[in-house]
Amino acid sequence: MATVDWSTLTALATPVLILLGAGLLILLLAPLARKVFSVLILILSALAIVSALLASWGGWLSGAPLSLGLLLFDRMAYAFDFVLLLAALLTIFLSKDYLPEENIRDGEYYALVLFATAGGMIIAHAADLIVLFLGLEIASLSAYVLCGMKRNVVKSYEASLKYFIMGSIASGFLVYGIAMAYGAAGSTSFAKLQQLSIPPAEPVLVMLAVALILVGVGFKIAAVPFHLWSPDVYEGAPTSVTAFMATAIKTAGFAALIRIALSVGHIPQIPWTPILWTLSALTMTVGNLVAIRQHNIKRMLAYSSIAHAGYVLVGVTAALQKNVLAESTIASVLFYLFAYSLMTIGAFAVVIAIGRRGDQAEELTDYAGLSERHPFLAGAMALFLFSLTGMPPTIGFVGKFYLFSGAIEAGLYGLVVVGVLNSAVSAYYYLGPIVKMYFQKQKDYALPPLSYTLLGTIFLCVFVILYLGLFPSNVFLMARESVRQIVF
Amino acid sequence: MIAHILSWTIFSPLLGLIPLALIPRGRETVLRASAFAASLVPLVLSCVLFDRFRGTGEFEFQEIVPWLQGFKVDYRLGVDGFSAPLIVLTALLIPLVILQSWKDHSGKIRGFLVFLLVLETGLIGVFSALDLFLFYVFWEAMLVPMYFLIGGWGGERRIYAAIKFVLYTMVGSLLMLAAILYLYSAGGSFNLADLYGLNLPNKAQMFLFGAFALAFAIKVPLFPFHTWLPDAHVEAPTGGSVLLAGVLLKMGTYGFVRFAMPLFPQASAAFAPAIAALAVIGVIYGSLVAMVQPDLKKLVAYTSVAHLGFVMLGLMSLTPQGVMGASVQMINHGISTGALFLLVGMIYERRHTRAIAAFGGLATPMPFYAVLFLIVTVSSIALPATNGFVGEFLILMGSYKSNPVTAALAATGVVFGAATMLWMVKKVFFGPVTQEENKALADLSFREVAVMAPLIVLIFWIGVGPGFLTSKMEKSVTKFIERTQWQLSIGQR
Repeated sequence: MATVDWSTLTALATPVLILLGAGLLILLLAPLARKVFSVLILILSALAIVSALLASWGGWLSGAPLSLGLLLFDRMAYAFDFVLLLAALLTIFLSKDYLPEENIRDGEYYALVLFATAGGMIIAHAADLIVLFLGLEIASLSAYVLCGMKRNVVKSYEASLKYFIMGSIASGFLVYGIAMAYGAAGSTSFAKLQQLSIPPAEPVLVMLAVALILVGVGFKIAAVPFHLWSPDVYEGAPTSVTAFMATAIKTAGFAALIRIALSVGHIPQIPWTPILWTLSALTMTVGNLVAIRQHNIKRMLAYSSIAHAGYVLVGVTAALQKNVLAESTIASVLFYLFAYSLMTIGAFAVVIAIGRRGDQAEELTDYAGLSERHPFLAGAMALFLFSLTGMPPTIGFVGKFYLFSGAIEAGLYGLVVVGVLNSAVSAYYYLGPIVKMYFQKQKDYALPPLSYTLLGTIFLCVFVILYLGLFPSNVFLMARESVRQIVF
Repeated sequence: MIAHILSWTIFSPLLGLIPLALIPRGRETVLRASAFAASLVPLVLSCVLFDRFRGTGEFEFQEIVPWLQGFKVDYRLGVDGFSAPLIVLTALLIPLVILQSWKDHSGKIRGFLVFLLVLETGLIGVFSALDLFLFYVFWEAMLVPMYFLIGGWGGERRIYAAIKFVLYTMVGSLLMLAAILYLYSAGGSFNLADLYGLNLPNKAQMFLFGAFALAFAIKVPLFPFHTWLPDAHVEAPTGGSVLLAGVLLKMGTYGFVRFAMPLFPQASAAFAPAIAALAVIGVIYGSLVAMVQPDLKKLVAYTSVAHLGFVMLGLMSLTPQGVMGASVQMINHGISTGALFLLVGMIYERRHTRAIAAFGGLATPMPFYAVLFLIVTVSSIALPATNGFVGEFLILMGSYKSNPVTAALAATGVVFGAATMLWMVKKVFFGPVTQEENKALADLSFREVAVMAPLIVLIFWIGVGPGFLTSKMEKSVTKFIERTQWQLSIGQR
C-alpha cells in the first residue's frame, strides 16, 4: 500500500474540496439565511464553482497525469470537471428566480447542487471502483433530495421517491458488480483490473461483473431499457433540478461508464460491441419515438435526453470497437456532453422563464404565439431545439458530426445509419414547439418580468452554441488533448 | 474585394439583417426598401462575378481558409460553369420576390424579409462550397429559413407542408452526411478536388451513390420522391414557391452534377438507366397529373416535376449535349417557372383564389398580364426563340444518343406538358369573361411589370443568343464528362 502524500492530494483535489467546503459553509449559513442572505448564498456558490473551475483549469494545464492510489488526476478527469462545473454554474443561475417562486429553501438547495457536482467530479477522478461508487452515491443522494424539494407538490414528492427507489436498486446492481470484479481481480482498482490477464482466469466472474456494472450505470444514464424512471422524475422535479440532472448527473454517469470501459475494455471475451451497439440503438430509437407523443415539454425533453444518451453511446461504442484508447472518439464524447449540456440547460432555462407561479406552463400548447409575446425567448428556444436536432450552424450539429465520424472510422456503419435516421425522427418533435411558438395564435397571458440572471444565462447559451457551432476547433482539440494521456 | 467576391456574395445578404433589426415597428415601407436594397448587393456582386468568370472549366474565385482543425475541414469556395449561373439566378430572384411581396400586409413582413435574406445566404453558399462539410452545413442551414417561410406565411395547411418538407429533406440529407463521413474516412479529405480522384471499390460506390442520390433525388424531386413538392408549393407564399421552384430544386440536380456523379462514376453509370427511367416517368406523370389540377399553382408545381425530370434525363445521358442541355435547363426552369409562380401570385393577390374555374376571359380586363403569361407559358413549353427550347432540344439530342427509346418517351411528355399549359391558358384568358368580379380587375402595375421585366428579357435573350451562357458552361461540361468517363475507363481496366 502506497503511502498517501496528503499535501499533493489536497493540492490536486482543490476543486472538489472547494465545492465540499462551500457546500458545508452554506449549510451552516442556511438557518440564518432568509431574505438577506439568499443572494449571498448564490454568490457564494457561484464563487465556489468559479474557483473550482479555475483550479481545474490549472490542473488541466499543469499536464502531468498522476495517480494517487484511489484518485487520479489526468486531463480527461479535469475535462469532465469542466462540463460538470459548467452545468452546475448555469443551474444555479437558473435557480435564482425559480426557487422563491416555488418556495424552495435556497440554503440546502445550493449546498446539494454543490455536493452533487463534487460527487460527479469524484467519479471522474476515481481510480478505483469503490471510489467511483462513492462518487456516484454522493451525486445520486443529493439528486434524490433535490428532486423532492418542491415539498408541497405531490408530483415532486413522488419523483423523489421514485428516483430514490430506482436509484438504490441501480446502486445495488453496481455494488454486486463491483464485488464480482473484486472476486475476479483481487482488487477494485482500475489499474489492477486493467492488468487482468487475457483470457481472464475467472471469465464468468468478469462477465457477471461487467454485466451488473453496466446495468447499474445504465440506470444512472437512463439508457433504454433502464430508462423508465427518468420521464416521471424529470417531470416531477423542480425544473432547475431537471436541468441539472439531465446534464451534470448524466455526464457523471458517462464519466463512470468511460472509466470502467477503459479499465476492462481490453478483455476480448466481453462482447462490447454487440452490447453497446444494441444499448445505443435502443436508447436512441425508443427515446425519440416516445418523445413524439409527449405533450408536456419537460417530459419531451426527458425523452430527448434519453435519446441523446443514445447518441453519446454511439461514441462509446466506437471507442471500444476500434481501440480502447481511441483518442478522437472519446474526445467526441466529451465534446458532445459539453454541447448537450449547453443546449439542454438553455432549453430548460426557457421552460423556467415561461413557467409562472402556480401554473407551470409546461404543456406544449402554452408555447403558442410565444414569438410575439417574447421574441427573444422564442428565438432562443428555437435555436436550442434546432441545435438538439443537429442543424448547422449550431454546436449540436458539430457534436453529432464528431460522434458519427468517429463511429464511421470504427466501421460502425449500421449504427451511424440508425443514428442519422433517429436525428430525422427527432426533428419531428423538436419542430413541435417551434410550430407552436411561431405559427400558432397567441395565448393570452402576460409573461412575468424576467430577471437579468435568467436572461443572461439564456443569452450565454445562445452565444456559445452559435459561436462553437461555427468555430469548434479549439474546444475539440482541447478535448482530444484531454484524452491523450489517461492514467489508471 | 474581387479576391473574396464569393464570400461577399454569400454573406452580404446577412448585412441586410442589421437595418431590418434596427428599423422600428410600423415602418413597413422602409423595411421593404432596405431589404430590397440589401438584396441588390449580392445581385450586383454576382453579376460582376459572372462577368469576370472565364469559364475555364476549373474552379475559379477559390477561397480557402482552414476551419475545423483535427478534421481537415476547410472553408473552401469556388465556382465553375455549373454553379456561377445558378448563383446569379438566386441573386436575381430574391429582389424580385421582395418586390412582388410589396403589398403583403400580414403585419409580419419583417420576419419574411429576414428569412428571405438568410435563405439567400444558404442557397448561394450551397452553390459555392467545394468542401463537402461546408456544403452540408449550407445545405442543412438553408432548411431552417425555408421552413419558417412556408410555415409562417403559407396557406391553410402550411404547418403540415412545412414539416413534411423538412422531414423529407432531412431523411435524405442525413444519410448523405453518413456517406460524407465515410468518404472522409476513405479519402482523408473533405476537399472535393481531392475526392474526385478517389477510386473507390465498386460496392462502396454503390452505397455512397445511393445515399447521395437519395438526398438529391428528394430535392429534385425525382419520381417517386416528389410527394412533398405539391404540398410545399401550394402552401408556400408566392415568394417561397418562386424560390422553391427557381432555386431549391436546382440544389438537387446540381448535387448530382457536382457530387453524386463525378465522385462515384461507376455507380452513376450503373444507376443511370434506372434514374433515366424514373426521370421519364416523372416527365410523363408530371404532365398528366398537371392536366387534371383545378388549382393554378398546383398545376405549375406538377409541370415542375416534369421539367426537372427532363433535367435529370439530360444528366443521365452522360453525353456532352445532354449535360449541357440539363445545365441550361436548370437556369431556364428557374426563370420560367419562377415567372409563372410570380404571375400566379399576382392574380391571387387580386382575387384570393387560384382555382382555374374562377377565371376565364382574363385577357379582356388584363391584356398586358395575358401577354406576359403567354410569353412565359411559351417559354415553359419550349417553343423556339425562347430559352426553354435551347435546353430541351439539347437534352433530347443527348438522351437520343444514349437511348432513343427514353428520348422518344420523354418527347411525348413534352407534348402532354404543352397541351396542359395551353389548355390552361385558353381556359383562363380567352373567350368571354365568365365571372362578374373578374371584369374590373386591374392590369399589372408598374411594380409588377418591373418584377417581370428581367425574367422576360432573359427568356428571349437565352432563347435567341444562348452563347453568353453556354460559352461559360462548355468547359465545365467537358470536364464533367471527362471526370465520369475517365474514371469509368479506369474502373473497367
